[in-house]
Amino acid sequence: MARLKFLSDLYMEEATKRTRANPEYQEASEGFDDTLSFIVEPEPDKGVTERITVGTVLPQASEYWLDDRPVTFTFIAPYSVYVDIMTGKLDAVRAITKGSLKLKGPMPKILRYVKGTNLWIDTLRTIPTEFEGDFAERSFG
Amino acid sequence: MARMTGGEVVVRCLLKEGVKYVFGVPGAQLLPLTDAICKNRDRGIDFIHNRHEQASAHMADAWARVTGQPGVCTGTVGPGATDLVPGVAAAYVESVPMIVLTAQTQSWRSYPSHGSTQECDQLALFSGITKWNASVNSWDRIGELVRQAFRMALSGRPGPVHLDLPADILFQTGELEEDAFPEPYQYRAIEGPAGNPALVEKAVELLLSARDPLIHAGGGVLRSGAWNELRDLAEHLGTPVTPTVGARGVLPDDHPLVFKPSGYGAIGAQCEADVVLAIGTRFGELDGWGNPPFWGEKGTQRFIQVDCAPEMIGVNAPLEIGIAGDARTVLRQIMDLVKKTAPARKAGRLATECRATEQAWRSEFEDLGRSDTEPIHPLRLVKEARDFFPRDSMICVDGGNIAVWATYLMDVYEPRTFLWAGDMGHLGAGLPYALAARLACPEKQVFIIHGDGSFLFMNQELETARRHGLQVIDIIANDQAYGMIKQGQLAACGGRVIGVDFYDTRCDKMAESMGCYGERIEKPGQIRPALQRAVDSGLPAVLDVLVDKEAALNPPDFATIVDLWLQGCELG
Repeated sequence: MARLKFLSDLYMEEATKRTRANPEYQEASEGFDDTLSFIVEPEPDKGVTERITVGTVLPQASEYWLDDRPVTFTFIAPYSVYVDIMTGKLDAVRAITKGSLKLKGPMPKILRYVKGTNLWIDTLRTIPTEFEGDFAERSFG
Repeated sequence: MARMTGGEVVVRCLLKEGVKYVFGVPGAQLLPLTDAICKNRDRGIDFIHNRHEQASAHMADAWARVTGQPGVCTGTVGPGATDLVPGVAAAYVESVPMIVLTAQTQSWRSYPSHGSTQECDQLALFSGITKWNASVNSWDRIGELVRQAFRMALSGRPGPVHLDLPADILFQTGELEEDAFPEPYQYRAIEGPAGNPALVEKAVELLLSARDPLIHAGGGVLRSGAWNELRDLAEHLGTPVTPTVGARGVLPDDHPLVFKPSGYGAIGAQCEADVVLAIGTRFGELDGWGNPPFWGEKGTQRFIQVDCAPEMIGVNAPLEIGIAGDARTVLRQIMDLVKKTAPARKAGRLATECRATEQAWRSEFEDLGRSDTEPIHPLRLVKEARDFFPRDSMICVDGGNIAVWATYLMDVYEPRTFLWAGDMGHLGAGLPYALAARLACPEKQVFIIHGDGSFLFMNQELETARRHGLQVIDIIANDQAYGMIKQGQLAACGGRVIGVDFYDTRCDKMAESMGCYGERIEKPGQIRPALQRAVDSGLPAVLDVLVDKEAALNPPDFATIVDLWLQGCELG
C-alpha cells in the first residue's frame, strides 16, 4: 500500500476501516461513544502551512469529517506533536499530561480510556503514512 | 531558686514544651546540654544518639510529622552542625516545625572567627533553611530565645528554627526561680488564627453555588490536625478530595471521595472542577503549579486558597478568594456556615465519574501487583508489603523510582502515618523517619519501602535501631542502581549511562552485622513469609529484595515527573 498523506481524506478513510476492524481496540473502548476533533496547527517554518481539522466518532468510526464541527473532545497541537505521537517518540497520554497536546473536553473520560487510546494510536500506526514539509523524512510504512 | 548551667536552662525550657526526645550526636561543647538531659531523664526527656547528625535531623523531622509537636535535634560545633543541614533542609521545604540546637565556640572567639578549630558561621549556614535563627549571646537570654524558637517554629507557616549556643554560655551557671519557666500558653499562641469572616462567607457562597466543587488538601491540613473537619465538610457536600503528595493519609485512600495524588481520578477531578477549595497547599511543582494540564483552563475554574501563611496566598494559582488562616480553624468556620445554609448532599457527578477513571487507572497496577514473574516486579513487592501490614501501620518511603512505584499501591489509611521527604526528594531519610515513627507510636508496626541507593545513604542507623530496641522492617527494592537517574540518562543520552550502577551489596548481611535480622529474597512467593519472620524476630529487620532491574527503571509516570522537573530544558 502506498503511503497516505497524514490526516488526508484517504488517510481518514483507511483509519476508519482499520479502527472498525480492530476488535481489541473496540473492546477496550467499549462505552466511550463520543465525538472527537483533532486540530493540527501549522508550522510554516517547518514547511507545514495549512491548519488541518479532522473529526470522528469513536470507537465506532461510523463517520469522519474534515471540517470544524461541535464535538465533545477537541485535541489541539502543532503538526510536530502529532508526528511525535504517530512515530512513537511521544506517548499520546503523556502528550496530554505534559500539555503539549491540549485537550478541550472532559478529562476524566479520556483518562478512563487510556488503554483504548493507546490501542487506537497503534491502529493508526499500521497505516503507511506520509508527513509534510521537514517531517517528510519521518514518514513510515 | 536553683543554680543551673546554660544547658540545664535549655532543658528546663524543653521540658515545659513537653519535649520527650532530643536527637543528636554528642560533643564536647554540647556537654552541659547532654548532661542536663541525662540528669532530667526522670522528668520525661531523653537523648537519642545517632550515628550521623543527618539522621538526628530526619528523626526530629519525623517526630514532628507524626506527633504535631516540634522535633528537637542537636549537633556540636562545626561538623556536627554541618551534618545536620540535609535533614533540616528536607523539613524546611515541607514546613515541618523543628528546633535545631548547635553548639558554637566560645562567644568571645566566634562571630567573627578567630581561628578556632571546628568553628563555622552556623548562623549563615542555617539561615537559608530555617524560618528564624539566632545566637544565644547571654546566659540571661537562654529562656527568652528558646521560647522565641518555639514561637517561631509553630507560628504562621511552621518550619525549623535554629539556635546557636556558644560553649561558654552553655557551661555558665546562674540562679533562676521556678517561675522563670512559664507554660507554653503563656508565651505563644496554641490555636491557629481564624480567617476573615467576610471572606469565609464569600468562599462558602462560591462553594455552594459550584456545579462541581473540589477540595484540594495539602500538608497544612495534616500540620494543623484538621482531618476530621476536612472529612465533615467533604462528606456534607459530597465533594471529591484530592490530597497532595504531602497530605497522603489525611483521609483514607479508600474513602469514596478521595483520589490519590497524580492518579487519573485526581487529575480528572482537578481538571473538571469549577470551584476548588485548596487548603494548606501552595500549589507547588508536584501539584502542577495549579495550572493545566493538571488543572482546568484559566477562566473556567475558580480557586479559593486557605493557608496559614499570608505570604503563600496566590503565589502560584490565580485566586478568586484568598484566606489567611489556620486550616482547622477556617474549616470549622466554613463548616459552621455550610451547615446553616445547605443540607447534606450525596456524592456528586464528579466524584462518581472520576471514581471510574481512578479504577481504570489502578487496574493495570493491581495486575502488576499480582505478578509472579521472576525477578520480582517492584509492584508485587509494594503490594505484598501493604497487604501484610495493618491499616494503621506507619509507612516510610525513601528512594527514586521505588517511591514512584509505591505511589500506585501503597495505600495510606490514617493521618500522619505516611512519611516521605517528597519535596526535597531526600535519599536516606527513610530509616531515621521510621525510627522516630516507632518512638512516637510504639504500639504500631513501622515499615520502610526503600531503594538500595537510598538505603545505603543512611544504613548505619540500623545500629541506632538495635541499640534503642526500635523494631522497624526495612524492605529494600534492590536493583543495584540509582534507577531514576539511570532511566533518565538512558532516555536522554542516547543509551549512555554514567555513575549510576552499584556492586551487588548484601544489605541483609549489613543488617546482621549490626545485630538486626536480615534476609535476601529473590522469588515473589518468598516475600510474605519473610515479612512474617522479620516481624517475629522482634528485631529491626532488613529484607533485601532483588527486583526486576528493567521493570524497576520504568514506573509509568516517570516521564511525567521528568517533564515537570526539566520543563524548558532539553539536552542538546
